Order: sequence, then structure tokens, then C-alpha cells
Amino acid sequence: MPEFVKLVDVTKCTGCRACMVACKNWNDLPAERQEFQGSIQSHKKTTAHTWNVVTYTEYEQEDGSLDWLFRHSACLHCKEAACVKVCPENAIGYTKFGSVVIDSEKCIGCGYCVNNCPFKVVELAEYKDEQNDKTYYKAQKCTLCTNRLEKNMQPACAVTCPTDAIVFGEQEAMLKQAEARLAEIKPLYPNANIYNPPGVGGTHAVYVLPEKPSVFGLPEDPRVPLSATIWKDYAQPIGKALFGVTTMAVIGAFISNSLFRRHENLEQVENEGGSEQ
Amino acid sequence: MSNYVSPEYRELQEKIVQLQTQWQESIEPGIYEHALEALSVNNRIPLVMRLTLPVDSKLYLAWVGQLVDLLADSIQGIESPLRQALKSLDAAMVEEWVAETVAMNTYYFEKFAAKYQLPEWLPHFLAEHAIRPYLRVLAQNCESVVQGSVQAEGGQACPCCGEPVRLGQIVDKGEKVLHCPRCEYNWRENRLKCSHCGNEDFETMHFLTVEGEETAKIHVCEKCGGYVKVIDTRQYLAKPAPALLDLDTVHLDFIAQQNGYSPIS
Repeated sequence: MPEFVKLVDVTKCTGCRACMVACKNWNDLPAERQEFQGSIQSHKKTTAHTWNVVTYTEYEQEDGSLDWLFRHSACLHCKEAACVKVCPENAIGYTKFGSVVIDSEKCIGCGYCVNNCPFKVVELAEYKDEQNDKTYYKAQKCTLCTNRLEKNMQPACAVTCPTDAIVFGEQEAMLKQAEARLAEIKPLYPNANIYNPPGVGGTHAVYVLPEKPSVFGLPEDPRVPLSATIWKDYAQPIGKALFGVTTMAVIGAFISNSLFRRHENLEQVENEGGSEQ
Repeated sequence: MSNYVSPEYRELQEKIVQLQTQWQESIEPGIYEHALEALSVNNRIPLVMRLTLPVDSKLYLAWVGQLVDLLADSIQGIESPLRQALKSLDAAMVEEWVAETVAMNTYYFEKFAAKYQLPEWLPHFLAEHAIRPYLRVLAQNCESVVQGSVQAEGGQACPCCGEPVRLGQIVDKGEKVLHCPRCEYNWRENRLKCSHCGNEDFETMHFLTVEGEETAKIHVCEKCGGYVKVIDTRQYLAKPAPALLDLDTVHLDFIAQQNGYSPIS
């Protein structure tokens, strides 16, 4: 199975928000009433029910002129995802397409993934069980339309984008296309770059950016938090091993205690029998 | 796209398409050069009926042998009677098989099957698949004699091999391209035009859609009763070969035909 990449060329984006509508439509996500953000931007950032948001950045260039920059922001589907690392229930995992998806059945709504995502795209959705009057939470984010990929279809945002600012395909072809586009725009945008951060092992959503990542609200060098690596790769296995040791100790104690008790009981029975004689 | 064909049969067809692609490479691309020079432009009569296919009987028999190997893996008890029957195939018989395949003479192959007590469908199945690499090379080289709109001259089938038109794809910026699943010849068509009778009246052209299948539409014409399955393959991750796309959408043929439409107007 080849790896797939969503290539987002923000220099082609017209900010039409068709990707947002397509995402809501395919994933059956509810509309969310928002307060006025002070700009044309609809939502401040991605939420549990809005998995992609087009950001509108007013950017003053070095010569004093103004640039209006649009970016389709959604989960980047890191190859070494922090959310996968920190999830204590192993509810977040990688699919064969490379997308990072949350298993709602396993998610306990602890929010570790929300706090550790370097791009701040994961959010908790609140659900109310009216029968038991209980409130519970589940982490939600873009799935890279994995349910479409399984049907041999491209993600909804890529299909709907009218300017081909979002395209989807095999990794090698997409990265090649990104390089070619970068060469085209470099004379116009000297700071142009390809955003495929190595700190998270690269991503399955790659951007062609005309300015530095920070201009678009992206971290310059995102990394999986060290605490997450220590927790998942070292502390948790050791914890599990220790749990194994203590479990064995408890079971061992139970068996030996039972045996001793059995001996005691037998001795008691023998003694009682002896007294009868 | 939901798949209504059994995974085993889909796999068999996929293997056959792979084999045909390999076989096609062993055919000289310029094999039709002289034959095509002698022909004039004509879209009404399928090209394959206006020339003799220069089939190499040794290659043909080797390909039939490979198909038998494939089928023997899938269908038990078929191999020995089939190999026995195929012993009768010499160069002259191969020529006859090719001619009867071009003429779509099912009756001829049914007689052959009856003679050797084979399943009725089997000889035609082998003959059809073994001829397709030659048809596909022809389709790649026929631009000089097959040009313009097929309907303009009253043609209603693939201008290269004569297969009824039934499959189209939406590509690039939304263009409708008709694909022949048999010879893989393809040609552009107007979106709102019947591919059988050329009707462009939007009031008598309709779409049938299937719930849950966003990429597929059946274009139907009230005027001639014809239909074409049109698939938006721009949304696909990997585009299957036309023959496999035709197979994957076979349920749409059932729906169209149950609603009274036909691939032959």
C-alpha cells in the first residue's frame, strides 16, 4: 500500500471555504454558532465539530504592502503523532493510508491528545446521555476522510477544491508536485517553503507556504513532546511490567496462602478425627 | 463505489487485465501501419470490421494457455477437457476464432463448446480475452481513420471495435470521455448529449442516480431509450482499467435495464 499525502498549496487558495462545507457535509457535522472574530474568518480554530477551518491572515510585507493569506487548516496526520503517543487507551492509531484516526469506542475523553497536539487541532466533543443524565467527552478531529479512502475515493476537501489548492495522491507524486510549485513561486515569494516538519516524522498533509510557517500560525519546528515519548515508550511499558510483577506476586501469594490454608484445614481435620478415636 | 461482484471473480478479471497488459507489450506497435494507410476516415463501421487482424497464432495459443492456467486455479475440473479441446486449435483454426470473435458470433463458440462438452460460455470467453491485446494496439493507432463525433455519421458503437457504448468517465475539468472497456479506445463527448442517438434536448435527457454512490450517474435518453454509465473518476484514489470499472459498475447496467433502457438504442 503506497503512502498518501494531501498537498495544500496555499498560494492557489482563494478562501472560498468550499473545503469546510464539503467536510461538514461528508462527515455530517453540525453547524456551530460563532461569535464575530473581528475578521472574515468563521471560526477561531478547528473545533470538535468543525474539522477544517480556512484561516485569513492579514500580513504586512517588508515593503509595507498588505497580503491577505488563506490557509486550509486541519489535522496534519503526523507520521509520529503526539496524540497517538499520549493516548493512555490506545484509542488513536494509524490506518494503512497513513491517516491518524480516533476510535471513539476506546476514547475516554481524557484530553491528553488535545493538550499535546503541536498544531492544536484536536478538541473534545461534549455528549449528553439524557437517560442517565451523564455528560461524557470524546476527542474529535479530521480523519483525512478515511471512510472515503476505503471506498477508493479521495478526501471530500480535495475533491471539492475548485482551484486545486488541495490535491490528494501518492506521497512521491505529491512531494514532487510541491517541489515544482515551490520553484515556480520562489521568485515571487522569497520566503516560500514546503512545510513537512521532520520533528513529527513528516506529515500526511504537506503545505506549500509563501511565507514562514509562523505567519500562518503554524509552529516553526513542531516536535512530539519529550514527556509524551517518556510516558509512552518508557514509563508505560515499565508500568505494565511492574503491574505484571505485582500481579504475579498477588497471584503467587493467593496460591501459597490457599495451599497453607489447605494444609491447616487438613491438619485440623486429622486432629479432630484423632480426638474422636 | 460499492462492489457487487464477488471478490474471487473481481480478482480473476484483475489478473486477466494484468496479463493482457503484458501481452500487449509483445505486439509490434506499427503492426497496423500498412492496413490503416489503405483505409479512409469512417466512423459508421467499426474499424475492426474493415481490416483483418494480423494475429500471430503462436502468441495467441500461448495466451489462451495462460488463461487456461488462470481458470484452472479458480474452477475445478475444467482443465483436462479444456486442454483436450484446445489441441484442435491450429493456425487455421486460430484465424477462424479471431474472425468469429470480431463478428461476435456467439453461436459459433457455443457449437465448439457443445462438440467438446465444455461449459457454453468458456470458448468465447477465452477467444474474447485473447484478442483484446490486438484490439487495444489497434485503438492506440487508429486516430488517422477514426475521427470526430461517432454519432455524426450514425454510428452507435465503439468506432474501433464495435462494442456497444455504455461507459463514460468524468475527467480533468469535468469533461465526459467515453471509454470502450473492450479495446480501451476513448473519445470526448458533450456532457448533455445522448451517446447513442446524439439527442441534445435536455428535456428528454435524464440522470439516474443510486443513493450512496456520489461518483456514479446513469445518463438515459427518453428519445432512443439508450443509457451510458458515467463515473466521476476524478474522485478516485486509483483509477481502474476501463474493463474493471465496467465490471465494478455492473449493478448500474442492471438498474438501467430494469428501468427499460438499453446499451443498444
